[in-house]
Amino acid sequence: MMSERRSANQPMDTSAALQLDNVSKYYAKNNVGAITDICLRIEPGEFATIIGPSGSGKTTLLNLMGGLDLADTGKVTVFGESPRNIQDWTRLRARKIGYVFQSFHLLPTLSALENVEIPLFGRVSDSTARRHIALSALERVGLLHRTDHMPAELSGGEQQRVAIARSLVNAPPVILADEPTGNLDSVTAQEILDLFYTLHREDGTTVVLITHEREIATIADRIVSLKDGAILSDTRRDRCVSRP
Amino acid sequence: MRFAAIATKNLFRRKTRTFFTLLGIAAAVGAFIALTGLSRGFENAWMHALLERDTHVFAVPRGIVDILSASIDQHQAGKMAEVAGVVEVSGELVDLVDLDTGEMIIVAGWPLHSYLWESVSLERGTLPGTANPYGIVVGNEVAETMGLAVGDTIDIRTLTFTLTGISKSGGVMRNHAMLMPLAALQELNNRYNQVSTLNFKLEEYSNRHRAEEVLSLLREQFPDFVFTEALDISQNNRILKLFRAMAWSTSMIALFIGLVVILNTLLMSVMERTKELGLLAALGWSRSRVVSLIVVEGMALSLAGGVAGAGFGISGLHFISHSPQMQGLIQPDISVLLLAEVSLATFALGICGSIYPALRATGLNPAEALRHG
Repeated sequence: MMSERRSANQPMDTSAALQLDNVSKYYAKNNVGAITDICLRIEPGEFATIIGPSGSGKTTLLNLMGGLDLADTGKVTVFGESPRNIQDWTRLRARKIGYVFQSFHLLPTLSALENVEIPLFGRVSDSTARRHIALSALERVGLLHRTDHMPAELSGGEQQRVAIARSLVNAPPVILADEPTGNLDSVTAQEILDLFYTLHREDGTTVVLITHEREIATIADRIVSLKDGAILSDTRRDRCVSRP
Repeated sequence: MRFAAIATKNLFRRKTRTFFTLLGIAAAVGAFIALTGLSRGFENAWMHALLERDTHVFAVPRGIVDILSASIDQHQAGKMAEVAGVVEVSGELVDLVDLDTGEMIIVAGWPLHSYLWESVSLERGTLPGTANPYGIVVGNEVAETMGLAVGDTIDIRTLTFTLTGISKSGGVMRNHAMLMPLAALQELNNRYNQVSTLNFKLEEYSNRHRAEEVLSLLREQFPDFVFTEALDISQNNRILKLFRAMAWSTSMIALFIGLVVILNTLLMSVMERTKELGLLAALGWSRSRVVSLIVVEGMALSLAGGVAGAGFGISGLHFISHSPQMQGLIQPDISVLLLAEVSLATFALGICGSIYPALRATGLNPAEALRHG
């Protein structure tokens, strides 16, 4: 939770934050690989960006990393856990993965604060405690003055900040962000990137961020390039050993 | 924020749709209450009218459904009275009469010396006697509606009657009924020597063994008749059975419509929100939690619709029971049991109407759901 923030130097799990071993995903219709035989290891506390043109498989890869979709072959491991079905992945996400999407995905009927509370259901039973934790998350993203505003009353940047607060409210060790700046102007986009970087630096959170803009990708310690569902380049070479 | 608040806020997103859904549920629940209350009220009024006369057993010709059209030779009463264990048998002719006020009331004709007259509790006046062969007694509600006083004359079809007494009963039916000597009613209907039903008073009726023996004898000696104990009449009376079955089946249809209304609304709502429900899964909500959210929405809809429907049903029943056509036949029965049944039905509507949409909503994997429009 937000009250249990880790420091950057605090040791996390010794296993990889995320590990993909020979992971493939095929389109059901024509059996064409969206992701083909990917091997990737992301260390705890690493900030990685995945870059590639449209259709290169970036979002599919991120979905597989977070268990929003299941790989057809291969194995995805998050801090030593490899869930086998969607339900197990859901439980894992509740504890270990925060998601941020390009189009924010805030629930329109709930206020900013209520949106941030959503991931806490099932983890924090007391509604007052939920509120306090959510307020603390909103404070971190600088939106304490907008807690009761509805999503429609917030700017794009503010909505994305709410989404980021929502992703970190459970203090997950991993945040997966799918083109989080895609719908924002350049100034706001830079603010959001700075926010991700601050969270990563202060909490030691592992961040995997997807973008199709190389300029944005340079914020990360590591850049993984995708093309046609396969890794084209990786700024860290020791990603994992591909099977023969 | 509480869990239920998320569900109720979703319902307010489409206010018009939610309003019409509530209206549909309210109509279904209201129909259920009105029809069931009507059926039970009718049954209660009927039972009270039968039990207050101290009759132990009734007899009607076999195969008769409508007691008004039953025709029994009144001399059968004398033959049946000879069976050992029978104290008295009284013929009774029953008819419906339209009054000038537009009301329809039940008229019963009893022999002047029948024990049935002993059950009449007079508020004013006297019972008809040999000195008043065209004397009548009316229930206090009839007297009030028609502005009648003891001594007034009333023209019914071809005959003129004199009001000798006004009765008051605990049952609604007799307060809206008219009693007259059997011979007068037979003359009024040209049904000389005919009665509709036979009323029996038995010896030692509290002795079950003895009562069964007498009933066996009657059934053996008069196989063309059906003998029913007063306490069993609600179970065996064909009119009541038919009425109950019609009320039950219409209520079930109404509830089914309510179910379809909830199902349709939630299904539409869930399909519109596929992406949002996928998002909840992406944020770590378990399948059971997402299902619970939709079920709570269904429950909130059915609960609100149920409360509104209870209001509709109770006021509708009140309106129907006070209409000129029904007055005197029904005292609405809004019992705790009925309200408990309605609550149960409403609860079941909410659950059943939301389970399928909920399961459908959670059937997709989150990535698929998030790709939706």
